[in-house]
Amino acid sequence: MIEIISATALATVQDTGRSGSLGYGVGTSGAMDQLALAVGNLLLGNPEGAAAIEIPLFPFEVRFIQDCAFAVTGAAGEATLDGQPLLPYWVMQAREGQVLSLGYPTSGSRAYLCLAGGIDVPPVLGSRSTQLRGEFGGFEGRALQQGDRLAAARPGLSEGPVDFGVIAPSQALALHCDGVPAMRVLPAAEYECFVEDSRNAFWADDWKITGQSNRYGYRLEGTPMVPVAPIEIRSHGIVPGVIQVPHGGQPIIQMRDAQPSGGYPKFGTVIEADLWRLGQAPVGSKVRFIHCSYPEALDALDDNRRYLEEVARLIDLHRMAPRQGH
Amino acid sequence: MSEQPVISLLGSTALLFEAPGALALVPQQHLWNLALQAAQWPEIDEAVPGMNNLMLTFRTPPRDLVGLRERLLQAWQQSTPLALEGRIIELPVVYGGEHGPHMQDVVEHTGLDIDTIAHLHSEPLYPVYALGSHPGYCYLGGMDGRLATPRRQVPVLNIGAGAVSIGGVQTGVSASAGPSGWNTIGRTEMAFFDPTQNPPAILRPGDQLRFRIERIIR
Amino acid sequence: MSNEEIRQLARWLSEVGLGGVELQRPGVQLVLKRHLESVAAHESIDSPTHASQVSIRTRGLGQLLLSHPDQPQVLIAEDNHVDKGQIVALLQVGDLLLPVRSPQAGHISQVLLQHGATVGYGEAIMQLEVAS
Repeated sequence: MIEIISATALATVQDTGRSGSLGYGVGTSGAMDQLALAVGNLLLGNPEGAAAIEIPLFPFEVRFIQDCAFAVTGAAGEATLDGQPLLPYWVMQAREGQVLSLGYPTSGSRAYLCLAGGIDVPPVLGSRSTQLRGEFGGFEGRALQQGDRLAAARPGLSEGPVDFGVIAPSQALALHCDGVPAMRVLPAAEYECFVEDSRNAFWADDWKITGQSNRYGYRLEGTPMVPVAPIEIRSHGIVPGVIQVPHGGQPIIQMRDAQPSGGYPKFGTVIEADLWRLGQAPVGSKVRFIHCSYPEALDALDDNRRYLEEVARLIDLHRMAPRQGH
Repeated sequence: MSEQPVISLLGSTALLFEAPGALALVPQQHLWNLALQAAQWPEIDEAVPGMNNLMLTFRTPPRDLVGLRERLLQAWQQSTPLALEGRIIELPVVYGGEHGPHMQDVVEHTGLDIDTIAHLHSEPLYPVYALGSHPGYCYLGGMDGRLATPRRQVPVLNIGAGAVSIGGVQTGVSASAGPSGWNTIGRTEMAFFDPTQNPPAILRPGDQLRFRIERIIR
Repeated sequence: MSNEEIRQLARWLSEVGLGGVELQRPGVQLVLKRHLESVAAHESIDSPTHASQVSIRTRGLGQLLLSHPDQPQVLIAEDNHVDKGQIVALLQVGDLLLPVRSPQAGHISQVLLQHGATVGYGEAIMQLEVAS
């Protein structure tokens, strides 16, 4: 069990997301960086989709009320356990009373605190992700506050190895365009409804992630996108990654807590395999978009899957190696 | 408006199927039937109706997209509209006043006065086409075309639960507080969603809503 | 180097896809090739040059990293004070990162190897001047 000891905002319990309830108007929610969540869980021997705490604002401090193994993945910054430096993408054994402190990230923007066994909150509609609009799921359906106590499903001393790490996805699956972090995009239904100059600029230009960017949507700043003619769209289901272009021409990428349906013209969709890159792109940073095909999008999912399988395999080997005293 | 359905991709996560023709109940019933079938297919995680369209989310995105498109078109062509039997639910609405902050915008756009707007809005029986937007929210068909008012240029950051609004040719009631780009003309009291219940949404496609004028604040 | 460590080294070799390794460093000479029935291993004890100097050694085979891939700064540098248990380097095996921790408190008097060097079991990577 841990207690949040810093004043905090916007930190939420998330797992891989809530599926099967889109037809009730319930969006998927879930971690903005699904790879960081998966790796943190693998480091602890948790099910890959176990719930963790997603931390978008820093500093963030917790105290361990019980012995518990934990992992911190995602954004890398100055992290300490009782003052001792903690490396990124690392699993450790915490003792009762120890304080974990996460400072401002030097890379990435969202950190994930995973606990042994996963965060133990009741699943609602099949998931432990926080549904903020509906005020259910996660920890009492809300963002975490100072004083909150969260239980781990498997507290105590770790049976598996601790004190090691893995190469982060940002290293293993790096993707850049002219030195700028890049995401692959599949054109959507209204792609051709935008003038050719706008389409070309979308792929050629850097786009800035503005301050009005969060789990609901990322508002981008760049050359305004111009439709050939005004477009009225009937409300339809959408998924995280859909890039809508409302009046004004500045695109909004729908993210994990976006409405599960929308009525604005959609230019393209950031592919599922690259959503984690967006999740780690800090406010104020620039991104580029790469045109990709459906088969390439599936290949990208396979690349992610291969990375996780390799990480899982090496962790299993490490688990089996004879342990030496530390 | 094309005569053929339009099928497009939402990344590698979902397929969007848009029915041709004007927005109407019969194509919606046809889509309910298509949704029931597609939901059984192994590649599909969920079949989510929208306003005369259907989103199919992938369980695992299929390599053979062409095959899936063909199967989808065939199922559409070979199936018929499915009239779902539902309940009729009546909602009392206070039109105008502080809970109808955009009533004046609708007045200006439509050229109608508040009383006419309230009466035209509360006259029809609205079929629930689909749920979406937020937990328990119903997309309704059948609004009188004279009330159509475009979505707002600048959405409102937080409109309360029970807000009765008009967006383009559609109308709806918000089930919880949140942002909205629609024009809010009134307020009703109703519980639309309970996550502890199964199903958690109180209303479903096939149900019908009637708005009753409780009060008009001019 | 014990037989168990050599067996584990051989298993690691096949897992990371190396055909063999030949280590020649002061104090250790080891040749391992896959598909051979026997291995040759020589080992000699490394005696410290200074009474308060201790070698910080690796616990496995891999690539020596002096900084973490996600961080620009080195983990430790010559003349830095180090606490007992503090991480001074990392061992990379495939995508895995294993810590090399200082056995005692003191000062790093020498960094013996370069970032990226391939190292084996029990290899000395730094000299530690133990705090009195």
